[in-house]
Amino acid sequence: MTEYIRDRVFLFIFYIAAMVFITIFLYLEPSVRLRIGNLIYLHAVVLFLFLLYLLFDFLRCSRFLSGLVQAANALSGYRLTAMPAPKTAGQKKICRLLDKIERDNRQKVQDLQHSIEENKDFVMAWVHQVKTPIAAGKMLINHNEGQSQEQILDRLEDEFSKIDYFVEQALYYSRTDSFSNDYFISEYAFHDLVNPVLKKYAKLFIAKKISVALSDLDLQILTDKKWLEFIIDQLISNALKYTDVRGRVRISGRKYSSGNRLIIEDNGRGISPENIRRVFEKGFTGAIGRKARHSTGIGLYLAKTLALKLGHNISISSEEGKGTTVILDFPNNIDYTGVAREHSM
Amino acid sequence: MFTIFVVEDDPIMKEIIIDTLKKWRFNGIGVADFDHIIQAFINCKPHLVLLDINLPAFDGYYWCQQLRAISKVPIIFISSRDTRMDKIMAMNMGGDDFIQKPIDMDVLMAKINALLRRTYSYPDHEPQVLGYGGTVLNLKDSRLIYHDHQIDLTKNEFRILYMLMKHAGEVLSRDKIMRALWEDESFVDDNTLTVNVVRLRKKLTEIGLESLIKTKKGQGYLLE
Repeated sequence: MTEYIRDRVFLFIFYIAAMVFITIFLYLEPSVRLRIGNLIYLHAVVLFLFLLYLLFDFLRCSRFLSGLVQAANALSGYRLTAMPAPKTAGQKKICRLLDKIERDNRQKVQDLQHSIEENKDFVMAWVHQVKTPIAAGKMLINHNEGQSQEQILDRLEDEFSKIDYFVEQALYYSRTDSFSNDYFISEYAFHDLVNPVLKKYAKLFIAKKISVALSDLDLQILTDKKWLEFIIDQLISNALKYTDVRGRVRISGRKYSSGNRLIIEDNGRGISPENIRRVFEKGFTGAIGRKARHSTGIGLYLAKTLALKLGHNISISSEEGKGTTVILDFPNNIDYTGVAREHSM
Repeated sequence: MFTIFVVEDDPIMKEIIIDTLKKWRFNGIGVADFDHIIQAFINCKPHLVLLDINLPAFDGYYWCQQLRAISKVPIIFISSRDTRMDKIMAMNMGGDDFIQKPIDMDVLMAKINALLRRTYSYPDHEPQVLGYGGTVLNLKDSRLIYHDHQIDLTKNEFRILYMLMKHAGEVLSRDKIMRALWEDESFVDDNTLTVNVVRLRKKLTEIGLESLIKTKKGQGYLLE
């Protein structure tokens, strides 16, 4: 009640001022000559009407306000539905604003839940994936009859490099968010980035008897070594994975007027047309991944995401049964000051 | 004999480094008590310090500052972190060089040798030749000398012969040789290796060493 009066203080001031003015006007105007009694009568009627208006207005307002109080006390999920229906234009506007805020928040919560879910899925898939080589390693240690030490070490090395590969993936996966403050753009030749990766996979290449042909890798590009090397690592390891024994992988640089390209081709099994669109999706696993049942399907997704962050681009084309070609594009005149800002999350 | 002080908390890593140092005829001394590194350093009087960044309690940067307060000894940082800030910090804290885990032992030894050479200005005593059965392989200009003949070898031929000489008497599989070549950024395939070996044998035949490299069917090559 006091709150109501305080809210309407200007109305009271207006009422008093208006009545005082009318009274004085009527009292002093010689042509009107009102009697005092009539003047009091006039005041009484107007006051009565005014009080009547106040009563109705008060009831209406207080209903809305107490509705708001109730809504505030309601369970957090139902506050908006518990709100009383707005009556005045002002109330409607406030309601609309609240509605918008609520919807925005709900969207945010959903997005967060989605990404938490995604992370959980990734971690689960990843743990399963990495357990396989660990189990294989344990087997090798426990059941090693009839194998020379060298053979066992050799196979352990294979399992370790698998674990290493997965751990590296997880590391870069968790690092993507902090990309914007952890990169250093400098000039490199393609072979500075490709050679370390080839060395890393030397054993696999040699064991699978896959030949490597390199050409024009002395072209210079601007990039961050660590991130791009990881991207190339993903691409080359994929080429290795999907190329059969005695296949070949060709890695070449090309110069264009608009920039440079790094082309990684293999003559492996290729990707079917219905899948090629989806290879860069998070969690997409090809036939091999499904066969192994534990595949996170994160490699190409990460490669694409990181490439875009660096201002490069990846595209892929394939002919089923003939091979796959992945093209890394390095357009000229990228404004690197903008790269991080644009993509910082 | 140079003494190298190895500040590394991972026991396996420490052991590997100290063993490798021994092979290269350095005296490697590890640290057991990470609370009294400075005292251990003073007792050991090393010519060079290998310092890991990730240590229990205080990190390598802290110890580097402590060491720099009392000594100008060359310091090589070992790090598993690969952010550029770490490298910058390492150098700014008074480190002389920096090597990343996983450590390539050959690179580490080269760095140690180079730093010792610069710091104590001694001539390099590494053997610059390998010998086998009357042949001498010069590691500096990749020539093979036999009696009064000399042949120039290509990079791959040299690499193959070097491997075989280092492991004289052992059978080296083709895969092993290939991996060594790949390590040197010569990404050869099966056929190329065959061609390289054929050419190398041809050159050897010219100076009367036709049977130097033996083939073990299905296993690889060896020098006998």
